[in-house]
Amino acid sequence: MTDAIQRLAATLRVQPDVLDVLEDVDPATVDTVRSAYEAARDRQEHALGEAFEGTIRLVPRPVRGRVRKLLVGS
Amino acid sequence: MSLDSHAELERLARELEVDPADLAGLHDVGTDGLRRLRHLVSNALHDEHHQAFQRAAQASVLLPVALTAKLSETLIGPYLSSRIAAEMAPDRSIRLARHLSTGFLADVCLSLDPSRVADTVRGLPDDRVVAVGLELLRRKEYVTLGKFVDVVNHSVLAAMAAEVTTGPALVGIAFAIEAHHRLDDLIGLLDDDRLDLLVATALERDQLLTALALMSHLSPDNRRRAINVDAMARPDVLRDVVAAADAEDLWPVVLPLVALLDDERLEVLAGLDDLLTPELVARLAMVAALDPDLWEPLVHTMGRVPPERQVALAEVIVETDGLDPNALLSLVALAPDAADLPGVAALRERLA
Repeated sequence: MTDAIQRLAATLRVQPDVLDVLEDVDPATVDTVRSAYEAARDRQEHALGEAFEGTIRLVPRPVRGRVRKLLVGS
Repeated sequence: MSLDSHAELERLARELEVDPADLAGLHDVGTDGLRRLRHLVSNALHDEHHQAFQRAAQASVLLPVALTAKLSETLIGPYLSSRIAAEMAPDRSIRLARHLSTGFLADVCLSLDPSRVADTVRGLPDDRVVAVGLELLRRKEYVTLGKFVDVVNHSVLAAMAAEVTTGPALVGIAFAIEAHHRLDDLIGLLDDDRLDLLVATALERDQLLTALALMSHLSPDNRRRAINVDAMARPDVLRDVVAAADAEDLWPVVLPLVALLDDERLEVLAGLDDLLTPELVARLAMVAALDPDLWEPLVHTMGRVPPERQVALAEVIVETDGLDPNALLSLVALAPDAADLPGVAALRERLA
C-alpha cells in the first residue's frame, strides 16, 4: 500500500485496504484524487456557509431566529 | 477503456468537479474499481457535512414550500440542494419538487445520488419526472439518465424509452444502468429497430465486449432478441465476437449467447470455415468440460456445421489433451437430442 493511498484513505476516513483498487495506480494520480476531493470538500463547506447566511437573511422575520438556530446553532 | 469504465470515470470527475482528463491515470482501474472509488468519494463528501444537510432539511420545514423552492433556485443552488434533498422526508421533497423549475431539477439530478431519493422520485407525478428526463436527454446527460433508470417507476421508464431514439443516447443510457433488471426492463421496452441501433452503435464504438457482457445479464427473451439483431448476421461481426471471446477468455459468457443465435445467424457462423478451427473447438471443449452448463450450447452450435465437419471436429475433441473421456461421455449425455448429431454420434463411438 503506497503512502499516497494511505493519505487518501485518511482523507476519506476509510481503511486503506478498501482502496486496494488503486494499488497499481501511479501515486501522483492518487494524490490528484485526494487534492480534488479536498478541494470539493472545501467548496462544499464554503457554499454551505454562504447558503446558510443568505437563507437566514432572506427568511421571514417570525421564523428567522429558529432557522438561524438550526443552521448555525446560535 | 470500455464505455462503462469511461462513464464511471465521468461520474467520478463530476463528483470531484474536475475534468475527466485529470483522472486519466485511473483508466486501468476498471469499471468496478472506479464505481467503488466513486461511491467512497460520494459517501465521504456527504458525510463531511451530513449534519449541516440534516439541519438545512429541518429548517426547510419551517418555511413555506414556495419560499424554500425560491431559496433553492436563487441561493442554495443545485449541488447543495441535491445533498439537502437526500435528507428530506420524501413527502416534503415531493412537494418542494413541484415548485422547482424543470431546468433546475435537471441540474440537481446531475449531482444527486438516485438511491438516496428513490422514494421521492417514485412519488412524483410521472409527467414531472418525464419532463426532467427529457431535459436531461436534450442536454445529452446520458450517464445521469442511466443512473435514474435504477429508481424510476416503470411507467416513467416506458414514457422515456419512447423518446430515446438515437444510437449514442441508447448506448449512453443503457451502459450507465447499474441494476441489471432495470436494463432488462429498458431493453424490453425497445422495439427491434432501436435494439438494432443500440447494438450497432456499440459495435461502431468498439464496445462489443461490453455489449456482450450486458446481454448476458438480460432475461432469456431479451437476450435472444439482443443477440439476434441485424448486426449479428454480418460475418465480420460474428468473426469479431469469436475473436473477442477467444482473446479475452470470455467463452463462458459468449458461448451461451452464441447458442441463442437463430438459424440464419448460426448458418453464417458455421459457414466461416477458417474460424471454427480445430484449435478453437478444442479450447471450447476444454471450457465446456469445466462447466457442464456450457456443453449444451457447444453441442447446439456444433450441430449447425455441416455433418462431415461435425465428425472431424468431434475427432478434435476426443484428441484434446486433458479431457477425461468418461467426463466427456457424461457431458455429451447432458445435451438434449445430441444423439441426432453426427458429430456427437462420432464422439460417442470414439469414446466407447
